[in-house]
Amino acid sequence: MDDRHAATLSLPPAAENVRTARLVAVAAARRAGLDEEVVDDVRLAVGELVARAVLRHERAGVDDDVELRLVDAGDCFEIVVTDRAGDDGHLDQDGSGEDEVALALVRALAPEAGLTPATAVLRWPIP
Amino acid sequence: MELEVSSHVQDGRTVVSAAGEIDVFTAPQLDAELARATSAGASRIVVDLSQVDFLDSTGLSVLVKTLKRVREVEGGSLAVVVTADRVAKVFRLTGLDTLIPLHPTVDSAVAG
Repeated sequence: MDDRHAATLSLPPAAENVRTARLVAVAAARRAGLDEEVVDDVRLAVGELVARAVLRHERAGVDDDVELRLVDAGDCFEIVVTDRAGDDGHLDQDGSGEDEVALALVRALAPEAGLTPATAVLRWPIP
Repeated sequence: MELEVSSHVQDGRTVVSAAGEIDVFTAPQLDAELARATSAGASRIVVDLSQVDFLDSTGLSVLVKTLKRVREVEGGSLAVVVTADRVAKVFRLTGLDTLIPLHPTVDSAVAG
């Protein structure tokens, strides 16, 4: 049986929209059957990645939406955050290390993480 | 959503309290309140996050910035009150809990 459920949320790149992304991701994670502690991890990881995408769009001067895709693939819950900032969205030119902290957090929160500048994929097993 | 931020003085410490969620959108409000306090000369600071149920890396950055400022002053200190597990976890995962003491209540943070 194909138990794949997927939803895509398209958000204007504004800081106030990051909370919406978190709320939708939490709802999807709970529906997929993840434990509440893991749902907390999803909330934070999605928040970090979507905030990062928004900041990258702001840095690059890109008004296009950032995209959050949520997939219940039956045995795993997957999130994909995509931005359209390109090379102009490069963060941490001030050397503050803040982008590194955000990415380190994300890697600590998701058992599987594939992070490239414009696309981040995270996966959690569904119990 | 808005973050509620306020300050008061307790036993020689400036207690900056926040209620709500601290993220990329609301962290600047906490940043502004802490900047106001340190500019006014406060150097022994307690940040009360007992009414905060979400904190991300932008919130941590605000705290790190404040930590650097208070360290520039002799006798300066920063402590944070945390009650939500998911907030404490962010400090633990980043190791910031080894730089900034976490307390379960304002009273224990002020006494520490």
